[in-house]
Amino acid sequence: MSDRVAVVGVSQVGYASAITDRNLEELIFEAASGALADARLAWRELDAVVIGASDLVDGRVISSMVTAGPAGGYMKDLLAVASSAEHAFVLAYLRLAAGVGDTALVAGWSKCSEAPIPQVEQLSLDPFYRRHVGMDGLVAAALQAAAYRDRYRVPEDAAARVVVKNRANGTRNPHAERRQRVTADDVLASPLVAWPLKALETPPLSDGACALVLARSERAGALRRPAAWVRGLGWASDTYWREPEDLVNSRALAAAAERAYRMAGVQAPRREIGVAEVYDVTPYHELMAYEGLGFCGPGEGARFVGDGQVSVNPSGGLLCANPFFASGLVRVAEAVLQVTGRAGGRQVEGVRRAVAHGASGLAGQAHTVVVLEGEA
Amino acid sequence: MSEPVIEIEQRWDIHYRHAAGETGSHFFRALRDKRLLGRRCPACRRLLLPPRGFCDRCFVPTGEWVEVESEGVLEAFTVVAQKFTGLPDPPYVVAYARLRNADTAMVNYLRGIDLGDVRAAAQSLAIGMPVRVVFRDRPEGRMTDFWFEPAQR
Repeated sequence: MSDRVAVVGVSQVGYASAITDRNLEELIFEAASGALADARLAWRELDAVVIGASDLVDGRVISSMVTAGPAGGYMKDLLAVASSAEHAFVLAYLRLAAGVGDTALVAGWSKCSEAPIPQVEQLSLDPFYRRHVGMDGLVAAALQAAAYRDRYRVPEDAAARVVVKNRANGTRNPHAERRQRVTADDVLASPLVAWPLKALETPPLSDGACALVLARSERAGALRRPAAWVRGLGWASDTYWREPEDLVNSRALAAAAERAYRMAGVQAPRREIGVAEVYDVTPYHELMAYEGLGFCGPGEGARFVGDGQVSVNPSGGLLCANPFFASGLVRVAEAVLQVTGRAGGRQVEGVRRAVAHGASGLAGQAHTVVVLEGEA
Repeated sequence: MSEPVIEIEQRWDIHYRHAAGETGSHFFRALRDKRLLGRRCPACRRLLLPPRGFCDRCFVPTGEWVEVESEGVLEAFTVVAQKFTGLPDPPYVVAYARLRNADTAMVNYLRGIDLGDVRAAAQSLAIGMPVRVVFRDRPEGRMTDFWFEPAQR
């Protein structure tokens, strides 16, 4: 993969608890055309479109039939990915790195307000051995959180401190659905959802769409837009049949991070990464991500909260906005904005390298890690 | 003799509530007045029916509303003769019709013909034949408010 690939356009629409003035297709069109406009790339000059979406969330089977057009796919060699929107990013990167086209648009979205998300998640379980159990993504996340707390004797307030940090960050993100600060006391006093998760430790389910434009080296230069170069990329899927101990220190995240860092030449993540946008589906998952991304050792996540060297989730993360299937791609978008100095009020000073982390599948069966770098 | 295989029965029953957006809602509201409204693409100038907030062939937003005439031509059809799981009881006709000033064809049922003999019914229809839109008495703002019928020349 000698060819360099950069993200040169970003668009986010939403995120909000319900977007009803635009239907799903119109929401996607707005994000896709916004990303092209941001890249100053005419749609006719776009080579490829890769979308990542869930049929069951969209309520349309082979949903690309209706969503390809608004994503800019008319007469382009569109591909649709059904595992997660960050995997669509991976595929778009691979296309360009392989020399198949010079530009590609990636889009992901969810209109959670239109679909029964817990039911959709339950249907992702196998029909034989687990679907009878009352388990959705949040219940699976609670199992992980409880196992993590127990394994490392995580203090009660560590998760609350993550929520307080991310909610404060969210006040500076115009795309955040939740834009009010909370205190640790608020978090601890919020009602229990599924042990040990309290209401303020769970993410919203948002409506919104996110699109990125990628370009190969010469083309990226010719567009004369702030470029975020993809320096490292790794992704891995664990077995569906994970054992309880596997729920805590994800092998898939470790493998994805190792691959991304090796490709990017990152040796000491805590010193070399300025910003991390991680998949904080709960604050415990943010703590686990610190460890999986190598910012600290196993079990040291609680002590890493508020670390001065790596700013984690300056966007506010999923705890402030969660367009479900697109949330991993949003992490990439936010990391791109940070390394190109375009993150507005949530910009972290002096960020050259950022890492984006996405997870998919119940209890984070699959993980993706992307290392992005701005211009020197 | 091997043991019998056990099968696990599952039923999916998922409730969605899809927001039609402002464009779709305007179209559905007009149906209650027995009017069909299309949107014109500012780039290719096609009048799109059903209306879309953007033209996917030109990748631009649309804006202009235009009322669509109720007469047009049949452009494609089939007469469904067999029962399919979850679909209406046969026989019925699914048709594509292009209304006079629209640039796109719309899919809906075609009624108003004798379906007693399916083959004869299919032969009584011809691509290019004139059709018209017929509304039900009390439209509710849904696609089921109207259908196509053969029109007199």
